[in-house]
Amino acid sequence: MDRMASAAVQEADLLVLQAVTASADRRLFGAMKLQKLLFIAHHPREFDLKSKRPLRAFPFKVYKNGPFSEAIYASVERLKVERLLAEESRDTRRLAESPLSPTARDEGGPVLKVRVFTAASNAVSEVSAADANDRRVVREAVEKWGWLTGEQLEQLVLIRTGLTPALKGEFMGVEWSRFAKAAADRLPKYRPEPPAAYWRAQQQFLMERPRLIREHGKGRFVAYIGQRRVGIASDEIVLYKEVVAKEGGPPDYIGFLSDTGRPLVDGFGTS
Amino acid sequence: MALEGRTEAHGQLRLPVRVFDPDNRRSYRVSAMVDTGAQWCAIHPEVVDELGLKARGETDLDTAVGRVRVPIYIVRVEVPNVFDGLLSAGQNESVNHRFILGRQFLAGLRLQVNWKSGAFTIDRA
Repeated sequence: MDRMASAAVQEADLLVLQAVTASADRRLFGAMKLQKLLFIAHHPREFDLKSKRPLRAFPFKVYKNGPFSEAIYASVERLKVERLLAEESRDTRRLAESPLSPTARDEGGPVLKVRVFTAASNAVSEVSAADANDRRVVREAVEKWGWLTGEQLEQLVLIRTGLTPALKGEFMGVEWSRFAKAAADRLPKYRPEPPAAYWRAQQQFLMERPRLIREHGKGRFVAYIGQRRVGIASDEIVLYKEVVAKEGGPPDYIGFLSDTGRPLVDGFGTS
Repeated sequence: MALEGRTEAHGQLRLPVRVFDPDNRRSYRVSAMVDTGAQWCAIHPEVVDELGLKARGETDLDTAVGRVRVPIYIVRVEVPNVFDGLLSAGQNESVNHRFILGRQFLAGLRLQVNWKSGAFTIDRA
């Protein structure tokens, strides 16, 4: 700790900084993404990290978007004071660098705004004062899952932890370890998870969505195989069949040209 | 060709259905409930897991308890004498039904129900 920029910065803060410095261009898009990547570092086995020793730096509790730690935001504030981390609020509609959903709501932030964190140029050397194993597991979490958007990370974490909307409502505000113990026998048995190709294709769709709406209007479905757009049609079943016939296999993702990027349907099975 | 049957308790209308992964031959037999108040079909995560289905997109779903976002799957559905085709199905774990047939399935079919006797007939219109 003797190499830290200031006594005000604590060791846990450096692990927040590590998450940002390990990100592309030392920038991390979204408080939700920051929260979820650090949660993943606390649960390396569940998220297929090589490191087996979990991070134990932040206390998480059950919150609106899944696991959440207020201590991470306290770390962010201290890092900002020490000028090791900069934060700006960006409009998700004008963020060409990151494939955010147009309805993405960052953790604790207003609609259509995302918190973008940028590490200072000297941050990498400061981070080296933190425990090497802790740094490694955070870096692994970022390298393995940091390519997902905050929303995709939220979905991944909810699926892998089994935190359903019902359990979230029941355990809101409860410390994560207490929730995990109390709800262990009530977690959903079946938790289908989208493959990586789905997430990547979805990101490509979100990046292209505004331009495609300008070119084709709203109300159409768009199909992708990987990051390649392979079809557009008014009906998702017709589109699926066309892609299978033309490409020899099904699309990885079908998006919808609308304000949300998703179709809205009325409820099934609610009777 | 038609399929005839009787409604179950509380007027539930159920059909014998085989749900297929359209990308291979795996299938799952289920007694599916018909829900005329639903636009698309609903599929339980157990069926998704059993068939190894891959999500093809997601949808916002308006339900009695608010709007939720769910993954969408494309499945092949076979109902004897009545239907064999692809349908969109949203994942729904909040109900006990393994599969629910919505209006996308009913489009192009004729469904006649005698609510007094409970007898129903479904065929291609």
